[in-house]
Amino acid sequence: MTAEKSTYRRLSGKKRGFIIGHHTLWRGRDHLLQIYARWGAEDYKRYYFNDIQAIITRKTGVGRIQNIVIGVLAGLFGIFAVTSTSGWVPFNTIIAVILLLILMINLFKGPTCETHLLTAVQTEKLQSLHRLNTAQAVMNQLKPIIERHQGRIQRKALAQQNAQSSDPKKKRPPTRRVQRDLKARKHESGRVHLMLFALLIFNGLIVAAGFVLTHVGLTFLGTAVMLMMGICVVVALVKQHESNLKQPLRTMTWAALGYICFSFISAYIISVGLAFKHPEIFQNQWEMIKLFSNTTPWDSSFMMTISIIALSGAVAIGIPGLCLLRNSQQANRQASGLSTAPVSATATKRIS
Amino acid sequence: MISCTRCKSPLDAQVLNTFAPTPCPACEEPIRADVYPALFRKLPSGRSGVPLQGEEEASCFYHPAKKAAVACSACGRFLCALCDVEFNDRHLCPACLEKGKAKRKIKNLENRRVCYDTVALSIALISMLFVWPTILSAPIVLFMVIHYWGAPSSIIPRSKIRFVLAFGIASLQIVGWILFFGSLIIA
Repeated sequence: MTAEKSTYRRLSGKKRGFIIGHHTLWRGRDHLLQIYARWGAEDYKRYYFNDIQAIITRKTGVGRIQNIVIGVLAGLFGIFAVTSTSGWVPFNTIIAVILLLILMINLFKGPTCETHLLTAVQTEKLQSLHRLNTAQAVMNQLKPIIERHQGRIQRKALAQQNAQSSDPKKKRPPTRRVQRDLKARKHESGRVHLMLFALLIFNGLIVAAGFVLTHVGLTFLGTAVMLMMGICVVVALVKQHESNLKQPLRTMTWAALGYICFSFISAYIISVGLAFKHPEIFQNQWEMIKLFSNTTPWDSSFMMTISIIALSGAVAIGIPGLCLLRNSQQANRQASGLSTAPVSATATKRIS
Repeated sequence: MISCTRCKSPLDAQVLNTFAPTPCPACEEPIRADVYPALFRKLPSGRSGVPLQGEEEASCFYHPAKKAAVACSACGRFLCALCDVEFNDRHLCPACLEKGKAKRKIKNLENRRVCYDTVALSIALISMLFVWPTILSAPIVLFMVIHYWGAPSSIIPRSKIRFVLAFGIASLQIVGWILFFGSLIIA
């Protein structure tokens, strides 16, 4: 039993599941052991050092997105803590401090990554290695151990592999992604996306105005913008299907859909809450709208939370969406410029 | 062929074994790929076993027409090359391998374990949140601790501290209930 116990050494990195469970990685005598533990049960996966063909880690933008979202939320709560004069100061301060702490921990942990392990028959994701620094440290640790089992790889073998991969006769059939890219020939200018992200930012401004201003006109304007956003997001999703738009931009459009759904649901909940609070004006639509217009984020913690989420969501989706769209359009323009360049050169020659 | 895990395009030799994140030539995502000689190793083809040449030759227990190549390390039956499974430096027949997995005698074949120490401690702690369920959960926890004390726990190094804690908490809960009902009877 003692000999059995001493065979495993814990490797750095741990990933917690969404609600339960966690993944860890252990180094055995002749294999790596991946453990997924939850509610007292443990699932094991073994990868023998002799069978490992490659370990690949790729930096991802998840950590950066987390930092931006947490940073925006912390900043907003911080601003409200500084500017508010009512009894909301302690609440906003505590939330801002907690968010700042989370942000600092996330920054300290470093960029995120995805790590995969390849054998002849499988490609497995090593869940516990989801931070680049940890993944690199573990890979450095494992390298001499795997080399002890398999020997050192020759640079010549790698070059040979490269030559084989560049040989057109031996080229692999196109992958599903490549096939999709080939299929996706429909050019999309992104005009609807531009409208959608611009409306999102405008909606953020309306929400921000709600902190200092209450007027029926503002409510009507907000409703109109929301309806336009709803139409734009549906059209944008239809247009981006099988188009040449980049994946991050598509993701942002889906995020905008999520934002719109959240806004509609929260507005519905607030309306129902108001109707229950004031049953006498429930039948009078105009009075209901006026009452809705008079509600401010300062009325309750629920309203404050919804307003902050709406504001930060509009900023976090709208601005990156516009930037991505601009980059995409610039890339398209450059690509079209390159493709037309030889034609124009020959045309110049003919003219001369 | 090693491919980028994002764009799935093949990676050049310049990107492999750089031991630092290098941009993927296709999608430009920083990627580090450590490759090992197993990548270039051809998979061994399956062995079918040699047919018997004469009557004096030993035959496989499972295939009487095939020549025995090795004896099973567990049951001693003669095995042909087809039936021989080399595992953990031992030669096993498929039946012994299956039995070893079912009876948990071959540790490296286990792919799931229930850690009763964690389960007992979780029951003891979670039931405390609702107070009343501890009437039922405390005896269950005590039973689990006694019954599974010797059962194999996690495959990784682990002490009996969870069992000890669960036992302590469950005992305290039982003592608490005895005192509570005792005071009710006295009152």
